[in-house]
Amino acid sequence: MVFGTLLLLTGLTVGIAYIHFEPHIAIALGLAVATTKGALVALVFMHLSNEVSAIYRLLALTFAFFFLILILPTSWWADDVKQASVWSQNVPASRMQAADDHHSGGH
Amino acid sequence: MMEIPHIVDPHPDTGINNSKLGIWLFLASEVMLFGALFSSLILLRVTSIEWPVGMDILNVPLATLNTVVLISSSVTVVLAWTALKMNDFAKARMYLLATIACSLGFMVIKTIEYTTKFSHGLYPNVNNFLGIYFTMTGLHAIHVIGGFVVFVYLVGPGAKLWKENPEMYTNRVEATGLYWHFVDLVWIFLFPSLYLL
Repeated sequence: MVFGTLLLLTGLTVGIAYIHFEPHIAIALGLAVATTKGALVALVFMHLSNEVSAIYRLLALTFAFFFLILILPTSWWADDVKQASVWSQNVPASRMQAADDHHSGGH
Repeated sequence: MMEIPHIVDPHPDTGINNSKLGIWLFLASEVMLFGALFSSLILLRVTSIEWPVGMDILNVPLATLNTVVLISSSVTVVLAWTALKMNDFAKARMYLLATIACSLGFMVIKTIEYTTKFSHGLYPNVNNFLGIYFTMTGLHAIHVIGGFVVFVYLVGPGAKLWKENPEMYTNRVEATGLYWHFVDLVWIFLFPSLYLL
């Protein structure tokens, strides 16, 4: 049952990728499906749907730091973006300039 | 021999045996290890002016097959543990062997993928995408090999523990299973992040 659902969701992820949505929609959908699959594995296979509180507390602490480590470095860069969102792949003008210099530098 | 306390019976403070707590603590450190790499992947991607679409370079059908192989191996581990709980060692052994076969299958497919990349001159030093691709999938593959070694031990020399202390053996299979599901979970996120998005 869970196995079937996981296979179905794998098919769905690949299907979504071949439809060629806008990048931000594709990323949101792709991660949503992956999170659903991950949750199924964690809850059913790893018995997290019914575990002692010590494990839940350990995981709560782990994921707090996990999100920090995930978001912090990107947030430094996002700080540099004057307009638009990070996901539309807008690069700060200063960096574009640096890249142009690099390309014209004969490398 | 000195008896190590609470490896089979639950510790009164935590409500679980120490081997299970131990493997969860290890997995917590693994979350941080892979978390740092996923963070690197995001940072490399959003700060780069050009970033290739994974499916233009990587082999999506093979990676999809590997996803199915890994999910199947997670299922066989659960079935092995359930069989041990039912006192059926022969059945559990069969499921553990199936898990070993799946992990071997995964490694063979991964080797095919890597050698194809290398034959096209696609090495980790070519660009940031390939750099992070080989780092993350390589580290993941090392984890698969680690799991493979433990499973081989559990059906091989480690199996004699079943006769001496079946409960302890069952706990070992459970702890290895938890690790194996985590390796599966990492792949579930690696696959779309690198190949599809």
